[in-house]
Amino acid sequence: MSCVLAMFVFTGVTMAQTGTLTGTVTDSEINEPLPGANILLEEIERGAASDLNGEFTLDNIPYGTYTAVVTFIGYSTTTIEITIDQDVVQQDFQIEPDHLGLDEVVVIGYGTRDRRDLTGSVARVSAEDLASSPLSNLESGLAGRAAGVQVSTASGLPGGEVAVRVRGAASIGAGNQPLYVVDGVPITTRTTSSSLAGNASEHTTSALADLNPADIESMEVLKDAAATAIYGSRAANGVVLITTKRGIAQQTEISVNHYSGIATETERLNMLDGPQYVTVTREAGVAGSDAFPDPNNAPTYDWADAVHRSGYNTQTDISLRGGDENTRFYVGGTFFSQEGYLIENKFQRSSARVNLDHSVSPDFRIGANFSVSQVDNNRVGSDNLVMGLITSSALNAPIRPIYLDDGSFNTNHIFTDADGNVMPGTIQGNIAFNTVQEAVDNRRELESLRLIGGSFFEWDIASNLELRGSFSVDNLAADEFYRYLSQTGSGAPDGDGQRRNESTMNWIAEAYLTYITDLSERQSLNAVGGLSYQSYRTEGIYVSGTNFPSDLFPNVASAAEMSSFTAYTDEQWGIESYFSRLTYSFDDRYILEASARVDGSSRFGADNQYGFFPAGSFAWRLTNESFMQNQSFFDDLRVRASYGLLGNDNIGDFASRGLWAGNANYAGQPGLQPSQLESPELKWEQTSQLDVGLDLTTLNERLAFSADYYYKYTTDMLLDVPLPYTSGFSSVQDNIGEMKNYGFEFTLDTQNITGAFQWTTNFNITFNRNEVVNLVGDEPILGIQNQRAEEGHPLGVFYLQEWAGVDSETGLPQWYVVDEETGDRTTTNNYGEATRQHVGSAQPDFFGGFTNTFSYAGFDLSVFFQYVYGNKIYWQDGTFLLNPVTSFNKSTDILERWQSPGDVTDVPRFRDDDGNPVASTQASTRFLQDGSYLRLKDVTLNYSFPAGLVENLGLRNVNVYLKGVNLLTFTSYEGLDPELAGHGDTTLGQGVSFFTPPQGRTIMAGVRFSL
Amino acid sequence: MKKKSLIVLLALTFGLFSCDVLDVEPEQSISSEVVFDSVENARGAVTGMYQSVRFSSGYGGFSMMASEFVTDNTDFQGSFTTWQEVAQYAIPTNNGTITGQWEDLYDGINRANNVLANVADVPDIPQEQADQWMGEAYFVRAILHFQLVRYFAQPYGFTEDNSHLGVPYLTEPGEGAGDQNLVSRNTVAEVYDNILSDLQQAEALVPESLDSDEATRGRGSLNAVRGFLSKVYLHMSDWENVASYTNQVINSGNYSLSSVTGIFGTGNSSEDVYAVQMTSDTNPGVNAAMAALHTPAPIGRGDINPTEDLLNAFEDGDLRRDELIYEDGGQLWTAKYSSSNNDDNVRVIRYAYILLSRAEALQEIAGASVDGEALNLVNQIRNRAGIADLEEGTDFTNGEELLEWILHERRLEFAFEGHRKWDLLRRGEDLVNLRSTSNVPVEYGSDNAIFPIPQREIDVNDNLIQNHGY
Repeated sequence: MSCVLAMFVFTGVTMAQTGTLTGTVTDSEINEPLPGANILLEEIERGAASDLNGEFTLDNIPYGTYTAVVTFIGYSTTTIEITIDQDVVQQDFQIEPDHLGLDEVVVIGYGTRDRRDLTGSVARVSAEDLASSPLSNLESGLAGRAAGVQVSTASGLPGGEVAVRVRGAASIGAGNQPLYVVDGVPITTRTTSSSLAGNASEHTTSALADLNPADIESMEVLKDAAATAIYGSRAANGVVLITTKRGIAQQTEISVNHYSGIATETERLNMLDGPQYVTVTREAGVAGSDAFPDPNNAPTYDWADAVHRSGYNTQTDISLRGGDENTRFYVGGTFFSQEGYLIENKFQRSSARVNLDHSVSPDFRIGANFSVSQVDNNRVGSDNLVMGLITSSALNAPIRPIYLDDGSFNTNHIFTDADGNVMPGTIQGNIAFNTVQEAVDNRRELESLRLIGGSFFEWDIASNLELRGSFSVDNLAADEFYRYLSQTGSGAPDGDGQRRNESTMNWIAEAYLTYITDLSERQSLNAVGGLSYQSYRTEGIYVSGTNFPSDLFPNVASAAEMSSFTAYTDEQWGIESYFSRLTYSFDDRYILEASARVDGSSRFGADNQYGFFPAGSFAWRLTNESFMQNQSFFDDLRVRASYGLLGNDNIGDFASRGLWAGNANYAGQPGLQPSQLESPELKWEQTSQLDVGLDLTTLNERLAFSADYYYKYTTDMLLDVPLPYTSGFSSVQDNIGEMKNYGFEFTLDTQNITGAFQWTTNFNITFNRNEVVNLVGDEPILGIQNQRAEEGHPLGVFYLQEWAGVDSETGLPQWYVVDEETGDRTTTNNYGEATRQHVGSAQPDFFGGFTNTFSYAGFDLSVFFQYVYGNKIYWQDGTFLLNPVTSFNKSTDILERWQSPGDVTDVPRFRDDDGNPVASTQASTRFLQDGSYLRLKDVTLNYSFPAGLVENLGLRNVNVYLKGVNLLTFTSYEGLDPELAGHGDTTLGQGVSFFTPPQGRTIMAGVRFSL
Repeated sequence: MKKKSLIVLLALTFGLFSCDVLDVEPEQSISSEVVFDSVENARGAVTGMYQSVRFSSGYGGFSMMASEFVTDNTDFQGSFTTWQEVAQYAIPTNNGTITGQWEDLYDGINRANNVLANVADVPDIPQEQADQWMGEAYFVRAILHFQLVRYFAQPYGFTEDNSHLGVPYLTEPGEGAGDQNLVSRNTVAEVYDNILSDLQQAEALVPESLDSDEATRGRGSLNAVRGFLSKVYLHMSDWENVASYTNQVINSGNYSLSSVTGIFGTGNSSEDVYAVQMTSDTNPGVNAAMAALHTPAPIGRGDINPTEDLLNAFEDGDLRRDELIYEDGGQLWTAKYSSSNNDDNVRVIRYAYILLSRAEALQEIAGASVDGEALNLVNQIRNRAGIADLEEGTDFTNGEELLEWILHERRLEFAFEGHRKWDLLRRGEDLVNLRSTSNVPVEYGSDNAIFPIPQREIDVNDNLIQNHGY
């Protein structure tokens, strides 16, 4: 009934006398007109946008007094009172540039806030920071730009997984990935590639690569409990809110952006050439090396050069943005193509988006968001795979020809001497395949088709009460296709093919009420409450076959032998949620906020099906206190505090259920066996988080500083508890582990020079400390390459023998032996006697980034560095590159070998006095390296053509820009690239390199214009 | 009104979605609650018990071989260190193979306990069906405990009242964490009582009809149950009962002696009272199947060889030597398991076993005087092997000497079939592993004559007492 009443009330108002508001919006510093600024009369929710001359007109305004709000990206919000009491009211606005983003509106869970009114900790990365960066993965755009957010990209290959850690890792078994929410939809983030296809050791690809950065308005990272608790059982690892661009009421603006560039690798390994290789292998006594050509005329075939190239990167995006007061739209289409610097490696994404908003009546609005994207990823053998391009090209003997004389691939294990005579020889193991041929002839394609769409309504039930409801889907279909041809090593003898189709259907229905009211002149209240249902399901089909009639048949259907075929359900869960937030503000001095979410999840045990996640927070603006009125040092000074409980629901879909598996066959009859014990009390992992923060601006808002201290304590970590086998089971999962993270985050934004020449600096730094507090018994949990979770140590601590260098007298390798009782350190030549020690982890002491931006006369130069300090990387490549007794090619470092007494070197002799090989590449700190680096991540020089010139062309603006990505890196790391997460998002696999492809160095030019 | 209907529509839409999103059922596995909700699933649970029996740890591989290669019959020369440790009677308490054996056997017992606890309540299950499955579950529970108590405890008769430590006898399904898991070891007397009781329950429940079907020779048929009863009584030296149960199996008329070579290989023979069924898909695999270990490369691993001592124990013309032992690559091999697919069935109780057990029992009862039927039975076995009857007066003069012959025949007849260690221990004899490298003698009752309780199990259950000497 009430909705009908509201409509009648409204129709009564339109009969009054009306006037027109008109004026110009200009920049207060340079006095230039600003096109595209928004003017809104709050009381009647009517607005207009300024045109090319900065002019705007709003007509049919009933006589009365209104609050006019002028907003424009990059400018402070201006609010004044306006009285419409005649036919035409002229009001100009001079708005101030907001260089430090102090007035920005940030997106929070189920709402937005002025940054000044936040009680929680939220980092924002805006569209401008991401614009025109060649990003295959959106989330890698967060690297170095948001305090508290550590981003490690799996490798330099496009589309790979990115490990994002918000304020450290808070789980061992349930994942550490934050919750990603796109326009209110918690999206699917599972890996799109599969271990099913027998490629488990390759880098996994991320579903986030389907998202188009060009559509993004902003990314907000919610960090503390105040900000995240409203996401309840999925908030313990932080929440990333991704907001896409929406239409604005203006004459339709057509924007076009195009860039093209060239990508090359940032680093290449220094390997032995042919003569060096023969010398070293002979000296080390490698079997068969006697037959190698004489060192003096051994040929060199540059395998690395054969697999590297300059990749062409390009993106074109076209968007239309406009509408009127009633209907607004954003329509965008983007084509992104990134050729890797490795041959045959190519990532292409085509995407389109329509975001619509329509006002059915002044108090009822509907809208829709719809995006579709298709990704074609031509993958190549990568890291963690000996067959990988970089691995194989590095390790192949340089005297092995890539091609035979007739131009065909050399697939046999033969060498040729300088005269081209074929020589016999042996090649070690997996690299025997011709890696160039593997890349060229074989197909490894991953296609994904992603549809994220939904519709919503907003209904003003009363003037201060809004109901919003939405229904959205995120449908992801991945199609993985592998075809190894018969003449290649992987496909021999008759060809091998695999295909996997997997689809994930994820839907969410939500409704919530927002109530905003002034309780009195000085008190206001903002309340949100709602409910949400989400359901998720992944299923797939996989087939593989061998023995193809010929290489012309791509499909498994043509295989004579089916080697595997299965249909499966992978992930299935549902979540039912109730959430609420209450914000009370007093006199713009005190803000109190409480929020909570109740999550019921199909994943939780029957006895704990619903979890409660509350948070409380508080902000105090000291500068508004009377005792601060007489100071002028601080423009604004606020302190914040928050505390709350958060969950991690990623405990497996059926971990709590008693299960029987269907594989207990006997005598040809299908049989069942109990496979998992019921644990009805099993629940989420829980993290409590305390945050204390300070925000200040000073020097006439030319310096803004924020500091946060946080303390996160995770309990109820899901671990396997061993059971007596007499129970029929080996273990049961239980919520018993504990871990903590604590640290400091600082951001400092300064406007160093203002005026015609401007210089601003943004700097952030984060110090995080992590410790595993409690595991089952004292048993460590083992990870990849000797890293482990162990009580009293940071997660992923490396537990290794310590390298003591080479004995300069004997040339033998040495390791340390530490006496258990006295702690005395001695050295040994016997690796078996060396003591394993805790020698650091992949977690850095601190990390962050800083950007300097210089502007003058239409030129903007932005220089962005990111840095990581104090982390360790296990350089597994080194165990191959420095091992003399294999027929693999080796690093030129091996030439530094010990040769005679007195030689001071870190490379031991190859053979001892008795002629036995000297082993020195066993796991030890010899290969554990400092992963610290400082990287010039992005340099962009942009020129905006003067407004006058642009206008003559009939355009709104024209920009041209030059950009360089990863131009410089300062590091002592000996491997390829310290910016890596070789095992993707794997919790106990961070900081491990195995010929991990380095980041690309891209140089590109672009043009952006709108009309 | 447009707006009103829109809202009603949206509200309705929401109403639909407030259906239970939490009601998600697994699809790759099934919930334990539904396993015994239908006859079909319950059948799967019953079949699943037998998977444990066919496991290497059950009656399918290691557990059969480890009672041979620690004796004078065979020698383990393979590379598995955990098996070497068993062969050398020097087993660390963390030996992975015996830890796995303990785990697998109790896993199977748990499967049987689940069937026993639930199968009677399966909706619409015919009474006969429920009885049969209950009977089979009692059978499986008994024979898996039997394997445990033989490997992990000193033999029956080691103490006069058998009050020495046996193994925990489990009769309830596992329920998860809790003190109920902290079980203690029952005495050997209690374990044997329970085994007998379970087998007798099985005897009462399993229908006669189960025996008529060739395909059920790998299941707990009535004669398999009776055969096992005779076997357990044999371990207890309860000769009357051995004689009685073997008689029942013989009188069933279902079995007859096959030819020496016809007994073995894939599929069942007329001799199989209880044979673990193997298929090319479901068998203990290339690292544990009988053929894999007993056959030289390229078919098998070639890890286990007959000893010279065994070879020399045969009389000339014995087909069991001439047909079933061969030389290849300078080493001796048995031909009892030879399938390259590892799908040789494993004969746990065959008709010859019933006959020789009966012969032994009858002769034990007869004492010094010669039992005519016993003599006839052992001669049936000898004749089948192509060797002459034993003659009173020439080959033996009294009952004790005939008994020696019967036991000698057992060794020759059942070599490689997993009986040797038990035949020695139940008669209080010492063990000697005649290894190609060095002999390892182990006296009856020695600490190392039996396996240690796995250390991992001691660590998680304070109530478990380790075997003496470990």
